[in-house]
Amino acid sequence: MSEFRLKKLIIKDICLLLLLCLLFTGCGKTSQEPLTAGNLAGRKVGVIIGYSSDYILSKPEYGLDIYRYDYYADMTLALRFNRIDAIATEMDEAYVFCRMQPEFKIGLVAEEQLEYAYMFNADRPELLEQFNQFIRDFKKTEEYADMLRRVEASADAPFQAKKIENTVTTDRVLKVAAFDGWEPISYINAATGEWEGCDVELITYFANSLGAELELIDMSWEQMIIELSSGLVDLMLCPDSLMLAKDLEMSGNIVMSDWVFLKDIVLIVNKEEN
Amino acid sequence: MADLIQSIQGSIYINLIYEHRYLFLIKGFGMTLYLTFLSFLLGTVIGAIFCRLRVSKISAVSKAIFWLKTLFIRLPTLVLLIIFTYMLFSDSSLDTVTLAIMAFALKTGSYISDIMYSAIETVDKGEIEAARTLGMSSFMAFRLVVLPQAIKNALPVYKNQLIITMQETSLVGFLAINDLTRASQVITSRTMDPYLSIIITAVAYLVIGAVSGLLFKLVEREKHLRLADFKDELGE
Repeated sequence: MSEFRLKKLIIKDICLLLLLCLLFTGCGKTSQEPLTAGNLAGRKVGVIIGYSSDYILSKPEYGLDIYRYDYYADMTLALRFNRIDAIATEMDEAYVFCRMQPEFKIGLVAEEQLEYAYMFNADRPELLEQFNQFIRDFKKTEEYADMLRRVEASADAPFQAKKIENTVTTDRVLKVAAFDGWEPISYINAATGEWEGCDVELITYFANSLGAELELIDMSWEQMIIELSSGLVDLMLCPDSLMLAKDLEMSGNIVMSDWVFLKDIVLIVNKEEN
Repeated sequence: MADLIQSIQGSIYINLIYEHRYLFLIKGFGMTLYLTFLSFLLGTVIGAIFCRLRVSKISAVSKAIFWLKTLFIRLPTLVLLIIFTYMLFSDSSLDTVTLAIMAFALKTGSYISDIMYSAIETVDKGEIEAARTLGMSSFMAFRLVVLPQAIKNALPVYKNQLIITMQETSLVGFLAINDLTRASQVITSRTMDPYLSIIITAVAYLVIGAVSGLLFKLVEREKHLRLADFKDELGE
């Protein structure tokens, strides 16, 4: 065989190999079968990177194919174009998500509720103790029950925020990192410029119990972690699953409180196809 | 000193060993290698086709290819990924990895077609005319006169293109593909300690770059050895 023919054959082989590699990468469209607890294995589920849903559902026992996104917008696009089967999030976020985007619905709810808590700077043990005491008592109150009812009602209408006045009786300032744009958890009302949301109400009750002035500082998740680790803020408002507590303890800078909310992890799916 | 060692040990444990987190990095490394080399090989094929069509005697084809490759070069890679995933192939059954490879291959192919075209242009026209005068067909003149010189001229830039393709693959995290960069982000999101996983990721990228450089050197060495053998056979 001449050298030229040999080279031609090699080039053909390489092209064939590339084609086969492409074919073996598989098909990306998701299964049209409705999601049930029994057929979750291998399903493509989108999560926000670092969120509790990512942490929990990444565990091998679920057998899910986890797609980690930076933003809800990217994840929503992926679900809309069936690049993923479902979006995993907490129930309270799912209420608002599905209300604002009616083409999606809650497809599946996890069987057991998970405990969610706030993160505190590890160098403030006395503040953590005060908060734990506060939350134990607060969970028994009507205010707490009412807050949960209003969160649930946000599935049908915008969250009915309740204005809690911050009563300052000491010169103490409680610096709290919060995330804007997260109805019904924490957000700035565009009309009034005021912080609203169930987390905001709860932390105002706590500040009042201390007689401290509440200072809410708007920042991204990444910034929150850095500022909390370095002690620039006392706590952060985004509640996370207590399953993260061991990791945070090992990092040495952040500790978690006792549980504040019980939340369901849910899977949001396309309405028309599931 | 003991504190520092203990802190490093703790960091290694939480970043790599606890919950087998090193697996994220290993899988991410594999995905980055897969994306880089497949995109680059396909890109080379596309580049060669674009280059051949660009020197076509049919003006419409040549112009169309010129504008097509300009489009791919000018569009940012992330925008190209979005267009491929959510516009052009939104209804196709191809998965995101395949679409990412296609987008990277077209981007890389456009650059490579420019590299090849410039390399061919640097060969003196007189040499081609001389080859034709000696009775070579235009294909033979291309293969025996133009191509060896063009390869020699193009190789340094071509090598760099592989590194650029590898760097661009780090954008696939946007499509939730778990490559090396994404793997380090996942670990950081769990440990809130970005340093160790980022250092490992940086080293892994440097290793891929170094190994590819070494492979290119081996190819060049092989070429020189074969040339020397050829000269020996001719008795020079």
